[in-house]
Order: sequence, then structure tokens, then C-alpha cells
Amino acid sequence: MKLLSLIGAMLITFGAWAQDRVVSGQVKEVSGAPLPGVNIRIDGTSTGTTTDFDGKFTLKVGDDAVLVFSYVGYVSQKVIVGNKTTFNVALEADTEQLEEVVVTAMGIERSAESLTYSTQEVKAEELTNVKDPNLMNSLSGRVAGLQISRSGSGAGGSVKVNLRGNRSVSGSNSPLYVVDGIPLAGSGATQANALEDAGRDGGDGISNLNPEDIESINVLKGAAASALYGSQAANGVVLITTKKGMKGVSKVNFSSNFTADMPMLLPEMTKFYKDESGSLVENANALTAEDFYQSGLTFVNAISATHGGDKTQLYFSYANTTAQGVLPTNEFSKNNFTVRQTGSLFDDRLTLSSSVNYIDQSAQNRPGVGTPYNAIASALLSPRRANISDMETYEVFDPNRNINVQNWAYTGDTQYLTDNPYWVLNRNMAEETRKRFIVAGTASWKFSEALSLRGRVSLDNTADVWERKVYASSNTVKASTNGAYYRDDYELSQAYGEAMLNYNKTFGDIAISAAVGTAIRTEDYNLKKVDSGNKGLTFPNFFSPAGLTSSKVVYSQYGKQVQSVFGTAQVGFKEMVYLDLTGRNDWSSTLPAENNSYFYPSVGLTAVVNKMVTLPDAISLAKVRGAYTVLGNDVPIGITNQNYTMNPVTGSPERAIVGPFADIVPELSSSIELGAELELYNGVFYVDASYYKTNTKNQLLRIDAPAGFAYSQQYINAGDVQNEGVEIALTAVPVSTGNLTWSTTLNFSRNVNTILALFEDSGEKTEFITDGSNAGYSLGVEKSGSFGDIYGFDYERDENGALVIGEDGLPNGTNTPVLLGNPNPDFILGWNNTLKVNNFTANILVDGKFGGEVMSFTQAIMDDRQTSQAWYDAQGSTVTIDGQEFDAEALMAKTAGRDGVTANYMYDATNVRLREVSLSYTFPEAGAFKDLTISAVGRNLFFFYNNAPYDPDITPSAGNGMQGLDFFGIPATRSVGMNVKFSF
Amino acid sequence: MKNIIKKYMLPAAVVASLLPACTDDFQEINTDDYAVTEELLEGDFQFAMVSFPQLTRSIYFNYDESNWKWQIVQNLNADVFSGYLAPPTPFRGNSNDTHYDFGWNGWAFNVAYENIMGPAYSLEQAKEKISPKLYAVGLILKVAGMHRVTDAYGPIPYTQYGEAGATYDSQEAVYDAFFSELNEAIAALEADQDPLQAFSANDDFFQGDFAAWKKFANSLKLRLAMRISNVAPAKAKQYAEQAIASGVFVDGDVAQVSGGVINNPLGEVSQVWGDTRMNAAIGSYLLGLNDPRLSIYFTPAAEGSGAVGEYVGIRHGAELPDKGSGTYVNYSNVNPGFSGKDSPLRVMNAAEVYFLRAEAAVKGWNAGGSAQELYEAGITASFNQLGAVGASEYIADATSMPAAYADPQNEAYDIASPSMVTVAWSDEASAEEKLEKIITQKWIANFPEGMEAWSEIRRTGYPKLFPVAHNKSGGKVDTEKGALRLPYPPEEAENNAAAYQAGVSALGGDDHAGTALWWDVD
Repeated sequence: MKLLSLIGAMLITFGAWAQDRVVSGQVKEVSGAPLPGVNIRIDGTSTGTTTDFDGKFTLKVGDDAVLVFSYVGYVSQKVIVGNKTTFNVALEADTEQLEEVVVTAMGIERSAESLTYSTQEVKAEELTNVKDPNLMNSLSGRVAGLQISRSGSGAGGSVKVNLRGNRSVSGSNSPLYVVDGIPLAGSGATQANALEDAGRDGGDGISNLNPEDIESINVLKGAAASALYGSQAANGVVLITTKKGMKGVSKVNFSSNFTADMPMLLPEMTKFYKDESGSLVENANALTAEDFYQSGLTFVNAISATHGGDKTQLYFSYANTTAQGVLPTNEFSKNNFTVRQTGSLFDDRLTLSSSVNYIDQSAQNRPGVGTPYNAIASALLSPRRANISDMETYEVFDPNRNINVQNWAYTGDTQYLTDNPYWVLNRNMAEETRKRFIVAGTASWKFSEALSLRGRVSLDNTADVWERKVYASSNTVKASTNGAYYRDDYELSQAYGEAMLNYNKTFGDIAISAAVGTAIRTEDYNLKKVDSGNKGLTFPNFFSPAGLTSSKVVYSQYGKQVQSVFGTAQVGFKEMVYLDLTGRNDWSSTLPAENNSYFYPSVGLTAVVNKMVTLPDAISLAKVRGAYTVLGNDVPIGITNQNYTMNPVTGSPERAIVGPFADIVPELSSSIELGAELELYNGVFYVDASYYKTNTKNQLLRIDAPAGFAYSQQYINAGDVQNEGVEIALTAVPVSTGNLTWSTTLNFSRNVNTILALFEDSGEKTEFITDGSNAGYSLGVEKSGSFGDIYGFDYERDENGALVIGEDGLPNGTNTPVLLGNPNPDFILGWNNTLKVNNFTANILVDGKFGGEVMSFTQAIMDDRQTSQAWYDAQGSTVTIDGQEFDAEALMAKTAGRDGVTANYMYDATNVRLREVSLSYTFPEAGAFKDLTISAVGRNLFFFYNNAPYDPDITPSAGNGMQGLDFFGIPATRSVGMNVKFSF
Repeated sequence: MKNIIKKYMLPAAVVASLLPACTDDFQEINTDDYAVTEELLEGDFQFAMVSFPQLTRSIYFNYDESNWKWQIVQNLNADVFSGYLAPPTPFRGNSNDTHYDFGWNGWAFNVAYENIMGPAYSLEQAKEKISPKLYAVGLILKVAGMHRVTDAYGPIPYTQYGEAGATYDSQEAVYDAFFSELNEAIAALEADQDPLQAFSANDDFFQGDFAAWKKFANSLKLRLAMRISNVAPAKAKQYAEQAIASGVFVDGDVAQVSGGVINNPLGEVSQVWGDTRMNAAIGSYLLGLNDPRLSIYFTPAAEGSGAVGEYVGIRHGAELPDKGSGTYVNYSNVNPGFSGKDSPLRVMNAAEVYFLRAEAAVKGWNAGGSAQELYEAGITASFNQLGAVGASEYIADATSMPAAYADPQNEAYDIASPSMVTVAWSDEASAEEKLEKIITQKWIANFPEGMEAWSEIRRTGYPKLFPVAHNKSGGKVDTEKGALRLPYPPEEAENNAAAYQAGVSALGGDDHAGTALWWDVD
């Protein structure tokens, strides 16, 4: 990323200078080799030229001009023209740049070239250029090996983030987020893992942050990089460095961002229906997806101020995000306050810093998964004979009940539980709020240049309230005649403390960098759950815990503590070879006492080849590296000792379904990573290639027990899930002339997931991990399969592979689920381009996922309910399967729906899209305003290729068991917007 | 350098080494503060009491109010196979368990193991800590819940449950265990019937009346004895006579969940979901026999059925149009006054017991009355239980016979009357004719307990029902005989392979719905 900072240094301003004579010369390296392509600019102007192939140049200048010679990877030089006409300039390689420092695990700074593993950094401007209410969405395509899937829960909702594949069948597959060295608490969002589940989603922990506060994001992809964080980091780490006050800088930054989101890839609906006589009738006023959705709007306004005194520095920021979703009534708003202070005392020996973040966020009507409370399902399945205008008047006064009731002639849908879609929007309303504060403090004491001690504490507290009010006269399966009420009060607090002793010293050729430390992390969860169930409320629309007729408020409180000691040491020899060792021991409260301690080591080795042997001058870095890491992971809270559970419906204790597992052992991942980096011409070209293989064993699996076992289900430690892959990140600056710079980054990654073993005893069994699934979609894991395998129903075939035809003359579907596909791509490509011409900057990001298959329940159910264009097209036509012709309409009637032949609703997930385009103009300095930049931005503008009827990157939920499915999810959006920022 | 290490590394190492000592409260951290602990459950013997509501509400299943479980545990198999009910919904594209194309067949098994065997096992573990009469109640409920499972599947894991490597028992061994458990329970209840305050509040059946529990145990023993009467007549006679002598249900007695909050799954699935309607078979009998219970059990067909105001049911295994068509869904529904959402969960009634005794009397066993007396007492008890009037006229009707069936939507399903049986008793009739009368009347009285009715249909061949309209079993199930059992849950073959194989071998036939059970001999 050194390129970007250099590009920043080359900002050109307008000016007027006399240019009255021609000078010429040659630019060489200190070693004497001519340097082609060096920028030569008249200081303070945008006028300039570049050197030719032999390093030579000519330029018209005035006497008092100053020439600036700059070249990527070299120290810029300023030369006063005076009366000279020939200039021979030698540029020195920029050692500062070669000594690029990377913040690694635990905030330990290491030189980039010494790292034994792969990391990739993303700068703030890449995140804030085209803003998304969840900033992780902005990372898509920018980091090799990072896969981002938007969840269906709308603005600010959780995002499924995955590094190097899924490794845990039942545990989390999300990376750990670390802000300024302190692990963020998990979000507490409930992510649906079942087909009919519309839980709260306060957004994952990371999405609550203000993107403007972020200085940079460094992605530690593999276990080797993150081993020091322990079990939480088994899925990689996203390290976030925030902005802080800087010495001598006092500045106010303002940015304002507006985005309009247009729904795209909407399901094609028909306006025809069949009347009683069976003939097709058109209703021009039938509701279509286009009618139902609206344009979304997002406003993000942020202001930040920094003040840098000599001894203390201050940073303050405030941001407001307001979004209106494409689903009417879906609204989101967020306020972020941040204050950060840094001070040094005792001749800078003691450094103190503190920060306070406060986040206040609310969301209304986040779309859920499935059909019951999801207005999208009610809209897309609305009978074609119903008129929009009637639907919009969603309630009418009922004199018998003396309340407003639903205006809907099509009640009683007991299959998909639909209602008038506008009634669902307004009278099955869900609202959620989140208040979160994160307070952190750090103190470090420098005993000497070599030795320092640092202590950190933080408290991260999230309080969520989620409510759903289902008004009387809603679908009778969803609610009693008086309505239904659901409420969750959820509080999560995480306290974290850490102390670490650092030692850095060079003894001749040997450089040692070591640290030992200890950490403690305590999580505390409190949940109050109100669930009226279908017994309902004492009187109509009395939405209160006091209004429950029979169900009870259920409280639960549980916690977790992990205590750790860790140490790391890096030994460097002549800046050529580095050996990295880390070790960490965790004690986790979720494991049984006899197994609660687990140790994991890692070892890594780097060789900087260009310092060991003489390579051509063009090669400024050639490095090979390797690492081996073992990482342990604890288990969910409370599974070792649970014998009774509270039944939320009856409110009474009952015997646990799952047997307690007292002999449980930690999950264990071992990974190897090999990599090589090559840099030419100090950054003109850079490539980082990695190969990794991770095997995760002792997976915690919850399986159906044999019938004679004393519990219905049991936990076992079993399995071996392997992820093997390669990542290539390539950066180049193909053009860098006086007023034109083009830099480009290409990220490629491929991950192959194989379940090498699952159950030790019984071989060929499939374990379904989608909860409560009995339908045409379930994710299943089995030996030799791959994580994410989608199972569903296909046409039944006999031993010879021929279709089995039923009595109705149509092919039969299978009764048991069969493997239909896997949503994970074969490989992912991201291609980012930045073009700078004078004061204009253009950024283009193309993002593609290749391979994989996804399913659309939306289409299957619309076909079943005869609202799709496909149903209309099937009228009077035929379908040929294996050379046999069938009536298309009858076949659709038999095979559509969520229990039908869902194999018909699998689609190629390959998609290539124009992910982001932005064009910015930075004004020359004008009065008090500095860095005034106006940008036009576009996101998801179009697909170069996509064959699915929806955006395959959108996942219904970030849960493990719900991937590669569209189940009346929020549609993809095409966004355009404006961004203004300036400082004074 | 060395000094530095001594000065700073050591204290850090000391701090670090203290950490493991702080893990003492890990167990507490890992426990929900509001959780129910075993210690907490000691008071009022709650460790045992919590099992009872789960057991009583898991026989006719509604324990966790997830009505869909009940729907696939029995409503989409036994309730249909018994001729009681039929779905108006074309589940799985008109090829589902009701057509003998099985896909939900594992639930009756799994739900029972979770909700009957689990809590019964907890009671067994606590046997030494609770009074024998309380343990006796647990045994009775276990048998009441599990005989439905063995009667649906055949051999099941039972006697070794909870032991490592527990295998399947033959159905005969399971029945032997049932009788021995019931005998143990009856003996315990004979010895001690003093009320137990903590139990009364948790007793959904009899509110702590141990004498009633004893009657229920004997009634159940009689039911099971008659079930094996064709295959093990000597044992059957012994147990039946023992049970009758010890005291069984009489008019007015009933085992049902009636206290507390009830969520009757049939009420929900029929009234709210619209997923079950009157079966054409029971419609044929109730209509043809002019049975006053018709309008108690069912409501007339509604608009869209093509037979508004009439009583019309759906053929078992019919191919149905989409529910949105508004046709079959408007056929005769279950009467919400009889099986609404709040109606009791009926497990066993006095009428059934009279019919069991009548059958014993026909066999010449000591049943405490003549076959005719007991048969007529059964009909009267049923009328009394339901508040129906006209029992004596009904009992005397020697002419009315089950009606033919006509489907207003699809005449392809029209079919002639299944039987010539009449209500009135005749001592001159053959034993077989008497059996048909008894079982037919028991079947009517036992509505809507399809599990029991289906078992007796397989054992006796009565009542005669309409054959399945579309048999999609692929030749495994004989259309005339109907489904003879449920196939085992597919996961058992995978999870529990050795035990499962032992089960299939004890079954003595293939693991499909066409293989007859041990007590099902012709």
C-alpha cells in the first residue's frame, strides 16, 4: 500500500509560472542505472514531465523554479533551477519505505519483510469512498482470500465474513475483530440457522463502528498471523487501527455522503391468474415486485476534529447514518461518538491513552428469513387477482371488535402464512435498538529503548432491545385472535485486560524482538425473552409482558472467561532470516475442568532472498516464508453440565435433549502456510502468493443419538475439515507520469474445502446443519463432502438412471434429500484500479466469484403459488426431461414449492460485477477549506455475468446452516451517490 | 541484560503463573444463573415431578405445543390409516405418507424417545429417592407412550435403554416388559394410595388420585392383553382376567390431560391450519348408522366443497388440488366444540375398556359380564362421555348400515359401502360378526386416537375401511391390507447400524410398511 501514500504525496496543485527556457538532464539510480519514468514536476504547479527509457528528460522552466524528482520507491529530490541548464540527478532508494512497518497481533510492530505469514492492508480512503452502513461490505474484492456475503437483513445488518474457507461445522467461522489491539465483543446478533426464523440482528460487532474513525484495516488471514490472539482468532483477524490526534496538527474534517439504492434483479411476476373456469385473466393492478419496493436512501454525515499538542493529542468524531431501505418501512439510523486522547509524561517514558465510543442505533422492520413475518413473501405471493390499491388500505374498522383489522380477502394461508403485504409491513412490525459503549485505556512504560511494559483494559457493553408486535387479525397461525408479542432484552458485556512486556534489541547481526504477556477476557450475557406464543394476549393489541395469557418471561444469564498467557519471539539475522516463535496457553471456562487448559504453538521462518544473494537491481524484494501453527478452540457456553433446560413455551423445567458432554476436548486446527513475495522497482510491481492448508479436528458435533441412548442427541468430538488454498495479491503501477498515475491491484483466491472425516464409526452418513429442516433445502456435511453442500429433492431415478414416472404420468421427486450443489465459489477475483489525472481520481473495482451453485426458494414458491412469470410461461407448453415430454404446467404444479423438486431451482452462482466506481475531484486549496474533494460514486452498477434470478452474494443469514439460498430475501441494489469531504 | 530479565521478567512470570489458580469459579461462570440445577430440583421432589407433565402430554403429543410434530407423529399417518381423518392439503405433490410414500416416518419414533423414554429414564435413575407409587405412575406413562411406538414400528430399543450399546428388543420381549412393568406398578399402587401433595399439582390426568392411576394401569394392561390375544392367547387371557379383576375404568372414567393450559394439536391443525378433515370412512359409518356422534365429532361441509351443509369426508390417499382451490379444505371439519384448541388430550376412555371386556367375553374369558352387556355399556359410556343423546335407540338399530361414499369434487373416488355391520347386538351372530361389531363401536368411541385405532384395525381387520385411493408404496404395501407398520427412522440405520439390524431381523421382514408385526396374525 506504499503506492497509495506516494500517490497522495504527488498531489498536484494549479499555479502559474513563467516558463521561459528549456532544461534537460538524466536521472539515474545511485548505482548508476538510468531510471525511466521518473516524475519531474515544477514545484507548486501541475506542470512536469517524465524521463524516457534512458532516464533523460527536457522541460521548459523559469529561473526561480524548483524541480521535484519523484519515483515510486525512491526518495524525492528537490533541485533549484537557478541558471543551470543540465541536471544529472541520482535518486536514492527509499529505505524508509522498505522498512515498512506492519502492526501485527497484540499491536506488536514488525517490519513487513520479516513477517512469516500473509497479511493485507486496506486504507481508510478505500472504505470511506463509497460508504456502506456496514463497513465490511466495502472490503469485498479488496483482500485475497476474504469472502464477504451480504446478509438479507438490510441496512446495517450483519455480513458473513469468511477468511480462507469454513473450518468449523458447529462453531463460528467469522474472523475476530481487533480495534487498536483490543478484541471486539461478538455482536449478540441472532443469525437465523433455520428456514423459518426472523431473529433480531443488531449487526455484527464491526458494523457498529464509524468508518471515518478508521485509519487502516489489516487482515491477518491465517492462523500463523493470529495465533497470539488465541482461540478466538482461529478464523483469522481483522485488525483495525483507528485515527488519533497527531502532534502539531489541528484540523477539522467533514464528510457528507449520500447514496440512492435502486432494487435490481427482481423476480419476474405475472399479472395473470386462472379464474374458476380455468381460463387466464389479466389483472393490470396486480402487485409486482417493482411496485412493492422503493428506492433506498442512505445519508452518512461525519465530522471529526483532531488537536495535537506537544504532550497530549485529542481526536473527536461524530457520525450520523440514516438509511431508508428498499423495503418500505425498513429504516435504519445510527449515531457514533468517539473521543480519543493520548498523552505522554515523564520525558515520554509513560504514555497514556484512552478512548470512548458510544453507538446508538435503531432499525425498524429488518427483513427476516422465510415467510411468516416477511412482507416480501406476502408481496411476491400475493394472489394475482388482488389489486394494489386495495392492499394499500391495509386495515379497516371492524365494528364487532371495535378495532382496526386487516383488510384482506385471502386470509387463511396456513402454508406460507402470508397476509396483506402492507399489513405485514405496518402491523407485524419489528423494531430494534442498540446502545453500545466501548471504553478502553492503555498505559505503557518505557524502561529503556529495549524494554517496555504495556497494560490495556477495555469494557465493551452492548444493550439490545428487539420487539415484534403482531396485531390482532393477522394470520391465525402467527398470532392468536388478540395478536402476539415478542421481545428480547439482550445485554452483552465484555471486560478485557492484558499486560505485556516487550523487549527489542539488536546484538550485532542478531535482532531480537520478544514479548510475554497475560490476558483475561470475561463475557457476560443477559437475556430476557418474552414470547406470547400462539396463546396470545389478554386483550387485543396489548403488547406488554403483562399481556401474556400463558407463556412466561424467561431469563437467562451466562458467562464465559478465558485466561491466557502468551509469548512471542522473533530472531532476525542480518535482516536476512527471521525466525518467529509464538506460544499461547488458554484456560477456558466452557471446557470441563480436566480439559480446560490448552496450549498451542506456532513457528515461522522468513528468508529475504535479495539480501542473501545478488539479484538483478530491478528486484527490490524477494522473500520466501513458511509457518506452522496449531490453534485450539473452546466450545459453546454451558454444554458440559446442562441437565435441565427451561421450556420457553410451558415455562417449566424439562430434561435436556442433548446429553451433557463431560469429556469434551477443545477443537484443534493445524495449519501450514507457505508464501513468496516479489517486488520490482521498489513497488512498481509487487506480488504476494500464499499457499495454505488447515485441518480442523475434534470438531464439536451435535448428532442424533442412537435410539437406546439416554438422550435424543449427543455431542461428539470428531471430524477433520480441511481447507486448502492459494491466494495471490498483485499490485502494479503500470503508468506513473507527471499528471497520470494508474495503479492496479488484482486479488485472486481459491479455497478447496474437504471434509476428510466426520464420524469415526459410521462412514457414509450425512449430518444436516440447517435447524429443523425437513424441506427441499438443507446444508449437510458428510465425509468426502464439502462444507456448504446443499441437499434437496431431485427427480427420482431407478437403478438404470431412468426417471420414475408416477400414476399421474409425471416424474416423481425423491423423498430423501440428495446432494444438489455447493454455494462456495471455485475462485474469487477482485480487480481494483485507481487512475489519477491531475486533480481527478477514478477508482474502479471489479469483483467476480466463479463457480458454485445456489438455490432460490423464492422462485420455487412463487411457481407453486402461480405468481411468477415462469408459471405463466408454462401454460400450454411442454418440458423435455431425458427425451420425455411433459406438460409444463402440470409438472410445475407437482414439482414447485419448498418441498418439491428443488433441484429445479438450483442456479449457477458465478457472477462478475462492477462492484464500485468512483470519480473524485480534489479542489486546489481555497481559503480556509483544505482537501475539498467531491466524488460521485456507484456501487453494484451492473453484472458482467450473472445467471441466478437474484444476487448470489446475498445470503439469508450469517448463520452456518443458511448459505446459498434466496428465501424471500432483500433484493440486490444498484447504488449511486455523492460524497463531499473537506477539512479546515 | 540479565539484570533486566531478573527485574521485570520474573514478576511477569509470577503474575502469569497465578492465572491457572483462578479457574476455580469456571464451573459457576459456565452455568446459567437462572438455570434449573439438580440441587434446586430436590425441593418437593421436583427432579421427579418435572417428568410427569412431559410424559402425560407426550402420549397424544402436544408437549412443546409444536403442533407440527403431532401432525407428522400421527395425524399424517395413523389418523389417516385408521379412517378417522385425512388432509385436504396435497403435501409433497400428492405423494406422501398418506399415499404410503413415506418420508415423515421417523417422527413417531424420535418424538417418543425424546419425550417418553427420556423422562421415564430420569425417573428410573431417581427410583431410590422417590416413593414406589410415584415410580409406578412413571412406569404406567412409559408403557402408555411406548406401546404406541412398538405398535407402529415393531421391535424397538426398550429393555436396555440407557445402557451402552443398547439394542432392539423383539416386540414380544417389549410386550413382556410392558406387562411386568404394569404389574410392578399395580402392585405398588395396591400397597399405597395415600395422596402426595407435590404430585397432585403435576398430575395432568387424575390430580393425584392414585386409585385412578391403578384403574388406568389395569385398563392399559387389558388393552395390551387383547392386542396379543391372537398370537399369545394364554398370556393374554391371564393378563386380561387379572386386570379386570383388579379394577378397570368404568363409565365416567377417562385418562386425559384436562388441567392447566392445553393446546390441543388437533384443534390447531384442523381449525387454524386447515390441514386435516373428516375421513370418508368414518363419515360412511357415522352417516350410515345414523350415529348421533357425527355432529359432535364433525361439522358439515362449507362453501366450495360442492356439498354445503352435508357431512362429507376425504378418501385416504386421494390426489388433491392445491389448497388455494378452496375445495377439499371445505369438507367436513373436526367440530371445534369437541376438539378445539383448548379441548382435553384424550388418551383412554371407559367405553374402550367395556369393548375390550366384551371381546374377552366373546372369547369366553371371565370379563365380569356378558358380551352383550359389556358391548352396550361401551356404547352408553361413549354417549355419556360425549353428551350424545339417544343411546338406547342407537343400540337397538338392527338395520342401518355404513353408507356408500360419493366425493362431490371427484367421482373417481366414489365407492360402495365398506361393510354390512349394524349396531344391534345379536347373540346368534358368529364370533367374527360379534368381533366386527365390538371393534367398529370401539373405533367410533375412540375417535380421534388414530394410533390405537390403526393398531386394532391391523389386529382384527375391523372396521372395514375404504382402500387407499392411490398406493404409492412401489408395491411394498398391499392396497387391501393397507400399511402394516411404519418404516424405522432412516437415521437409525446410519447412527445405530448394529442395533437397527438386530431390530430388522427381529421384525422378520423387510423394513417397510408392508411387513406385519408380531401380534398382527390372521
